[in-house]
This record gives sequence, structure tokens and C-alpha cells, in this order.
Amino acid sequence: MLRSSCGGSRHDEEQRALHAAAASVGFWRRVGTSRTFWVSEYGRRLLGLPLRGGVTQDAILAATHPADAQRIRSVFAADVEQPEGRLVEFRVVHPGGEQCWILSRSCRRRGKGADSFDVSGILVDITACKAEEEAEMESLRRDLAHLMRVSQASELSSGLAHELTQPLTAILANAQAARLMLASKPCDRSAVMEVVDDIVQEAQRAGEVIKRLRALLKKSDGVSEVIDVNALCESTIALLHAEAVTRGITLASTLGPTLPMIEGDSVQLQQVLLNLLMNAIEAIQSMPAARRVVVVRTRSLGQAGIEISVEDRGPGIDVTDRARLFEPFFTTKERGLGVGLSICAAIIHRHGGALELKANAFGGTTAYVRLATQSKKGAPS
Amino acid sequence: MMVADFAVFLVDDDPAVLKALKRLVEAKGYHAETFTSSTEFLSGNDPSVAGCAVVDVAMPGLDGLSLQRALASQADTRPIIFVSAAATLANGIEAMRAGAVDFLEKPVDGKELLAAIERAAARDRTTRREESARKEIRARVDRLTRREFEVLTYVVAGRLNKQIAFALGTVEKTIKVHRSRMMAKMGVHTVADLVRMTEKINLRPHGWRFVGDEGPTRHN
Repeated sequence: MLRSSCGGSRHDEEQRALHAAAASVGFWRRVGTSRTFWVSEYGRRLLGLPLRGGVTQDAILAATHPADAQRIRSVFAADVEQPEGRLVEFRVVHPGGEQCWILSRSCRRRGKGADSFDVSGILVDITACKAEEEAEMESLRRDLAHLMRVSQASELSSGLAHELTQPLTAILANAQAARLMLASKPCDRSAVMEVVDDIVQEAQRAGEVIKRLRALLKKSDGVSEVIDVNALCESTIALLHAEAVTRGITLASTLGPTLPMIEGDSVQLQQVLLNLLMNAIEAIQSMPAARRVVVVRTRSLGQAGIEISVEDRGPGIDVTDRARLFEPFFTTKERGLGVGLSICAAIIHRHGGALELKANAFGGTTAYVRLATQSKKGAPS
Repeated sequence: MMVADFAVFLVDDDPAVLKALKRLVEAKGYHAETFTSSTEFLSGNDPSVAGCAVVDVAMPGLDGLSLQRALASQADTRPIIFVSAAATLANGIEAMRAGAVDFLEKPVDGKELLAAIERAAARDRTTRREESARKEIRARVDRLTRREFEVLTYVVAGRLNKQIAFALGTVEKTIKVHRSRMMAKMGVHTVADLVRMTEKINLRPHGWRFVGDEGPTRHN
């Protein structure tokens, strides 16, 4: 059907265009290296072009989404140079600002003259398919990120058990002490009151641990909220406190005093932080005591937003590995899956920020996360 | 119940836990002192004060097991009770092998902890009593002349006076004199008492030689 639609008289073209429009297909044709196109009315609608008048290559490029324009320009050039038909997916932005995904399928035919040829093709609106695909990808991404959080939580579980045990130890000892105090004569009521106050405080501390764990295991709903980055850093460091103590590691932080709030998904951002911190901890695991230090820093970048950095004094990243760091399933760890950094990078990217790893003065690695203070997009999905 | 002559040294990096445990042992009548790190405890530790240490295993800096090793290297026999939030079998075995009184899991039950402290106090008393007895025996041995000491090593090896005289190239009469002075200085009347006494300080009888030994030696 496609082949038969190439070429033919103007009348035929209009007939075919009519059929095509009925089937929600736009139709276009370009003769030789001409910079103007014939585009059917439905095709013009799809591209968001005026329904009357000539259609130039530049007009099509102007309608194309800026991110896809370069690709489409090279497709125009390739149409002239290479004889094969092609399949192109690209976005256009309609005058109303509405974005639309278009699929163009084209073929090239030799004309009557020696060098003459024409290219013609169809345009199909695939916005709905793309949205569905994107939603599916998004849900897969979210599931993968959630799975990673669960595995992180299980990795941290012994440390978290320790974090819970400390307040429980204090509560139990306080309660048993209070019992002994109440049994003794004379009984010092104010001393017992003090013990009870401590019990309350320690119970609240245990509650905080549970809350942090819950936040970690929560399935992200992708809802954007206002986040205090320093508080996020502090709670993440608290999650890792026991882990660091048992591994003989010092976790230090220097948090910027006047940090503006940012917008984003706190569950996802905490996951990134946790991942970078775990990487840092693993990197310094077999280092001498003086180098078993991880420092978290936050600072304001003014207009550019904020920066979180995680600095370790590990052995650094091998030059050959550096290029592949963000590649999915690339790992240097014996038991690693190689998805951590690629998920982190994806999360930060969706927040409109950047994730970068650099060698530092201590011979180790520093991970930098830069985030805009006000995300231009609505909710990062 | 007052047991103020026995101190409980609590070592834990968590101030809230320290405070609570201090209350508990004080409510039982012990004198308690708290330390937030192993190094803090070690620098203030006076081995002559009777008491036991209740030590957390996982602490930043010097951990509990390292503290135990540090005390052992100073020949400090202070009993240790470990409490751990993340106990591993390996940790427990290492601690017990190195002579810990007990290895308790956090959250630790007060009754269990107090029972362990009582055992530690009993052990500490025994060790201190034995140590002071050994000290006294060593002091008595030190008062012996060289000849009297030689005679002692032969006597505890079961030699008769004439055998000793022969071995030392003298007459039985002389040995008898040395022997009675030695027994008097050691404060014993029978050979059996003398043997028991010298065993306590690991003094080797004459003729008991081990590889590398250079004959009878004084144990100081």
C-alpha cells in the first residue's frame, strides 16, 4: 500500500490523502532535492503546520521539538543521499504548545530522469503509544528503584537492629532501675520521675528509627515535595550510623548553613544519597584507619541551585572503569549488581540535576549531586 | 544491699544506655562509673580498685574486644562482661576464650546483668585473694638464702636430706639446718604444705627440666 502510494498525479495524491486521512494517516511527498514538501491536510494537522500554502524544510524543522531537530535535519540530508526508505520517530510542538509524537515512514523512488527521484511517506500520531510506553518504563524504573531500596534496607538491617537495640536497652534498664527505686524505702519520687522521662525519650528515639526505616521502604509515588536537603542528609547518615560503627568508619558531615529548599521526591533522593554513601563506605572498607572517613557536604550554588557531595578516601576509580560507571550492570564489586549508579543517575536526571564522580585530593572519589532549587518541570516522574 | 566496695565500670558509646545502666547498678548498691570510649576507660583504669567492666562490643575507635586485649596485655585481670547489640558467634567465642565473665545480648535484662556482675565480683574477689597470697609466698621465697632456695627445690622434688647433701656436695647435718630455716621462713611445718605453696607460684622442683631451662630458678 505504501509503495503504491508513491508517485502518481495530483488527483491521485489527493484521493490517497483523503483515504489516508480517514485512516488517521498523514501523507507527504518531496520531489528530488527540493526544499519544499507537499503535505496532506491531515499531515499538516499532525505537524501543526498551516493548512494552506507551501511547506518548507525549515517550517518542518521549526515545528519539530528542539531535542529532535538535529536528528530530523540529518534525516532530510540522508533522504537525498541514500536510497533506502526509513522509519523515524520524532516530537513536534504544536503552536498551542502541545507536544506530539509522530512516526514517519518513507520510501524513495527513482523518477523519469537519470538523477531524478522523489521521496514520499506517511505520518502517524503515536503520542498515545509513546505515553503508554513511557508510563510502563516509568513504572518499571520505579519498581527497580524500589527493589534496590529494599535490598539496601536488608543490607542495613543488622545496623538498624543495632540502632533500635540501643534505645530498647536504655528503656529496659531504666524501667528495671525504676522498679528497684520504687521498692526501696524511702523512695525518691523525683528521681523515679526522671527515669520515667528518660524512658519516654528513648521510646521516641526508637520510634524515629522505625520512621526512618519506613521512609526507606516506602514505595515512591513520584510526588514532588519541598525538601530540606540538610535534613535529608542527616536522616540518611543516621540510617548508616550503626553500619559505620561496626565497620570502624567515621561518617562526618559539613552541611551548608543557608541552604535553599529544593523540590523533588524525597524517597528517591534519599535512595541516591544512601547509594553514594554505601559506595563510599565499601570503597574505604579495606583502607587503613586514617583513611576510613566519609564526608558528606552540602552547599548552595546560588542561582545554580545546591550541591551535595560525598567524599571518600578509598583507592579511587580505575581509569578504564571510569567511562563505564553509569552503564547498567557494570560493576567492580564482587557481589554488586551494577545497577546502583545507573539508577542514581536516572533519578538525578529526572530531577533536572546532574551526578558526577571525580577523583579527589585524598586519592579517593567524590560524588557530586547538583540540583536546581526550583525544578522547572512539575513533578519529576 | 550495699556492695560499695565493688565498682562497676560501664563502657558504651551511647550516653542514654550508659545513664540507664548506671542507674540500674546503682539501684542495686554498686558504685558505678561511666566511660563513653575504651580509651577513656583505659586511661582512667586503676587495676588496684576492685571492680568489673561492663563493655559494649561495637564502639567507634577501640572496640570492646580490643579493650579486653589491652587489659590482658597489661596483665590486668579485671573481669569483663560484654554486652552487644550485634552479637556474632565469632565475637562471643573470642570474648569468652579470652576470659570474659559473660557475653550478654542487648537489650540486656537487668537481672541477667546483675547476676553476671555478682559472678564477676566473686571472681574478682578470688583473683585478688589468690594474687595477694601469691605475693606473700613470693615475698617469703625472696627472703631465702641461695642455699636455702636450692634445698627447697630439692625438698619439693621429694629428695631425702642425704640425697640433697650428696647433690650439693655437703653433709646431711648442714642440709638439716638449711632445711629447718627454710621451712621456718616459708611458714610451713610439712613438706605437703610447702609443695602446695610453691605450686601456687609455679615454682619448679629440682630436676623438672623443660627445653631451654637452666636448672632451678626463682620465680619472681
